[in-house]
Amino acid sequence: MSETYHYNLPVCLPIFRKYMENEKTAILSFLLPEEKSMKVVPGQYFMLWLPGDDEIPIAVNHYQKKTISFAICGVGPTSNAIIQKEEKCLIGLRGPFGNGFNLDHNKNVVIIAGGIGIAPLRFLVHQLINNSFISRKIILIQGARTKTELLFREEFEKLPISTDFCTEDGSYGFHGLISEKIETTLDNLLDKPLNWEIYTCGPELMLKKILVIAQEHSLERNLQICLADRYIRCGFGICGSCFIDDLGLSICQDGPVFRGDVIARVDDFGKFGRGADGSKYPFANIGK
Amino acid sequence: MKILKTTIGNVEIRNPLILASGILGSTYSSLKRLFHEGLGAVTTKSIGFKPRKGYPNPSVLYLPEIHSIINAVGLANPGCVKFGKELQKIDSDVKLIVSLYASSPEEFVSVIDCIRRYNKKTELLAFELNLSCPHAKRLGIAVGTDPEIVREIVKKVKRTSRIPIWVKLTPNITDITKIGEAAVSAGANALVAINTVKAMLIDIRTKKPILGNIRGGLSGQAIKPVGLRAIYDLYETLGSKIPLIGLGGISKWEDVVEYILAGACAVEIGSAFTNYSSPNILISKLLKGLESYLIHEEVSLEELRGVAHE
Repeated sequence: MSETYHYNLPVCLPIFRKYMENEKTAILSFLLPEEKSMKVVPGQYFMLWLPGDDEIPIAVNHYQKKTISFAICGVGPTSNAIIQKEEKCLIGLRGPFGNGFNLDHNKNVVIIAGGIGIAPLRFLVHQLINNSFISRKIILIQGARTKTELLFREEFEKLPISTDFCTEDGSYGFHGLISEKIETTLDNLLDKPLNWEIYTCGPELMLKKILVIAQEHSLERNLQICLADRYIRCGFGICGSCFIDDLGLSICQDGPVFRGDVIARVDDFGKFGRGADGSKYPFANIGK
Repeated sequence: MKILKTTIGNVEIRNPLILASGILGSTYSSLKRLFHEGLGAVTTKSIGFKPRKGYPNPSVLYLPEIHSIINAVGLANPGCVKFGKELQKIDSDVKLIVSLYASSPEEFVSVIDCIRRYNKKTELLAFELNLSCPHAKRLGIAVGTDPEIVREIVKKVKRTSRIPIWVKLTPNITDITKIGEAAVSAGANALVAINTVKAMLIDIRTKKPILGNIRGGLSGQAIKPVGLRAIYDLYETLGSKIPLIGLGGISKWEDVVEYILAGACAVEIGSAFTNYSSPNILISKLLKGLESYLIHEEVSLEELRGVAHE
């Protein structure tokens, strides 16, 4: 393996390509200037800095050769400001950070994505397809509120994977919540449970439901959960802002990907997040 | 490791390594974890009267070339009511120091009262007054560079608190000993030095400061010689009677020894936890090295203190 590198300080790069996947989600790609290769694992994230505004954690959506992409959904002031930016505008990249997904196994794979939670999982899907020397089954279950929020749907439908879509308003695929869909799908699939690895990312209340379903099938050790609804400040596990109770693990460095049996011991999981001031807020109250 | 037992005034801790404020200490879980991974005591992030969001990011950045961190978190904290409640979840065996900031003597007293109200049963090791945060306007350094204000704050706080009061000093001052003397004359039980050194970064592509707050503070290996000199000066001026807790850039056991030789009786560790997958790796390296040194030199921690002055 050749030498790899990492950006400790934000490196400001011009937006190389930008397109809108839907009206509030932009895909921004950047050309990494270095000769060396950067090691990036699906589930890892960068801190994206909009000079003069703020810096926010964004999962890597795609990375190939020297092009790195991010899918950014406008949910807060900074993400909304970033998606307004056009090509050539400078954005600071700091990372990659965090503990990504573990791909080191020969199992069949179920990938469950809710809303913008598809962002790191798109990178995962491509890595699993490209790096797989074995023939394995890849099942993608993607849910969103409505058809236009099923990000990258047309791309996924062309890939050699099974896809299963659901929308809350019934505008595409199964009409209903993703958790209902998973329950039946997993029940059908898991006759040989140990042959499956489950990956998921999305709103934390959805992740919580998936953990419960996995636990019912004694599959929590085969479940890899990527947390997404969390405040991150430093990115390298030192400031303490994102530690989760009561394990005392950081989301920014020990996570954002955790195994189901670890996250099952986190009291706050699916219940409370922590804001920039360190105080807890309940997930249910922010419309998730 | 009996040999590592450390006395700070009239409190005893199992070893001289203390978690520095502002690193990893924002939640009860991380404080508990750090103590159980081997530190002698742990210090919370600085707590104020009201919640504060702090400054926009980037606010904490690692500088690998100098193994240091620049930060402008800006005293982000949930306020003393919420944090007071949070501390109730810490087991009573954890040796805990609560760091505080405020803009007036009265406000310091209010924060202390509030923390005490929620933690009547917990035996806190000390309150550490943050009179030295370099980047929060009208707080921290603003109150910590005037000997008169420092004297007034410490006096008032000492009147209300039976828990030892430690005063954390800023290096961003011409003569640190003047503030140290003021704090001691007002009854401070120990001095802690140093807080971060004023610093900043500029991005050459956007041609703008990088930190959300423009200015911040530097910690980590780059500032070790600065911290060491501060402790040396304080010991020289104040003598061995007042306990000194040294910090700034400690990342290996030799650094701990240097600080003790300069006059510290204990040290705080912060930025050095960067790049360790688990804090106990660093903690046990430091403790083992320190223990072997003491055995090899046939000297106790107390005997070693301030020897560089002899």
